[in-house]
Amino acid sequence: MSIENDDDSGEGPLIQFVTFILMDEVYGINVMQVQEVLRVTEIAPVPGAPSYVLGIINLRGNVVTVIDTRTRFGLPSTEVDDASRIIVIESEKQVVGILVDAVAEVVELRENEIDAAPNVGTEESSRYIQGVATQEDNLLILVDLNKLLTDEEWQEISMY
Amino acid sequence: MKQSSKSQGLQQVDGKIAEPENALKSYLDTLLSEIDDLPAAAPVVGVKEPSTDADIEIEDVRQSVAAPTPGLALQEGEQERLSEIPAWAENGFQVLLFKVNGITLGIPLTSLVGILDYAGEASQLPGQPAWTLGVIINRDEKVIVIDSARLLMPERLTGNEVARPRRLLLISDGHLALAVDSISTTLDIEKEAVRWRTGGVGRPWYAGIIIQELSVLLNVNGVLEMLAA
Repeated sequence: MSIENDDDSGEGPLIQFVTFILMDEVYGINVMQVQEVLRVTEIAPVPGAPSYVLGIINLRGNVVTVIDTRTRFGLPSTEVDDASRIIVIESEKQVVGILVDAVAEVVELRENEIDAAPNVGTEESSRYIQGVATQEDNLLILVDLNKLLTDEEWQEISMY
Repeated sequence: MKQSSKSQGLQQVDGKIAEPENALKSYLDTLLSEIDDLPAAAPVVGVKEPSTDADIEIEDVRQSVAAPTPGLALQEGEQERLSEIPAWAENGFQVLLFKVNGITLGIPLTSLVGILDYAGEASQLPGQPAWTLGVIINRDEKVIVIDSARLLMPERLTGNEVARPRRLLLISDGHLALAVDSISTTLDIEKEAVRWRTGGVGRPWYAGIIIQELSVLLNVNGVLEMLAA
């Protein structure tokens, strides 16, 4: 589901993305999947959890699993700092948090501005890349959160 | 969070923001604005020690979008979890919190036979699984000491662990003991204070999460199942 604005210009509907930073690259996720953005407080580790699960947080009495997005994307880990944020998202599978270096803003893109991702990796490693968009010579990488984890992995973290 | 403060180094992506209509602007402002107030956490009845982990500062809330609230969705999910609650938890129960490898876990007192001090003096038997630390004698009974860290969280062992087990939690009629770093306190909690396991495979020792403490609640029967496998 997307926020889409009809447009009389014939350039296609507008889709809004919340952008975030990982290792100086800008990523975007559909704004309709974003529930909240949190400062990073205590993340309690969970024994036996996969490496991409940082732990759990208590969000107003609900347990939310936090995914280490850097680890998931195959990027080196870094220390949490003041800019770090947990984006609470609602995928088709469940509500989870993803830890990112920083949250930027909301941008609007038209469908025809979204290109397929250059296929330089394996299909498996890039399956969650929905597409890319060029913004003033910079690349905005759009992430399909539903494919961030495999069905088995979604099932596994649903235990927590 | 102010939008301007989060746009540093990101000017490359703001060129496409259209002139918003009032409703859209309100929505985006809400999404990217600071919210200082945090609703109270779910009630936990009878917790003896105050929690320090419930106060998460909320920055952004998607309040203006006509969609089911996350809290409501989660509460509905919790309702489905009620069928997973073990019988001993129906009317509330007590939990002992303890630490293993720096991580806090909880064990229902109904599953706990006793607590012993431990100085690492277990007798080593050859050919035992890696998760055993040896055997001790307690009240003329042999007790197998289990390396809880190796059994429950082998993925977190680096070989450089500083903390050594100092306590033993006796389970299974006192014939098994979980070696733990330390014990802290007991809690009186209601079944609603636990996010119960909802199926899944593996980790049979995992009963759920004590929400207020963000600690794993052990299923001791699952531990025994695991040891017997």
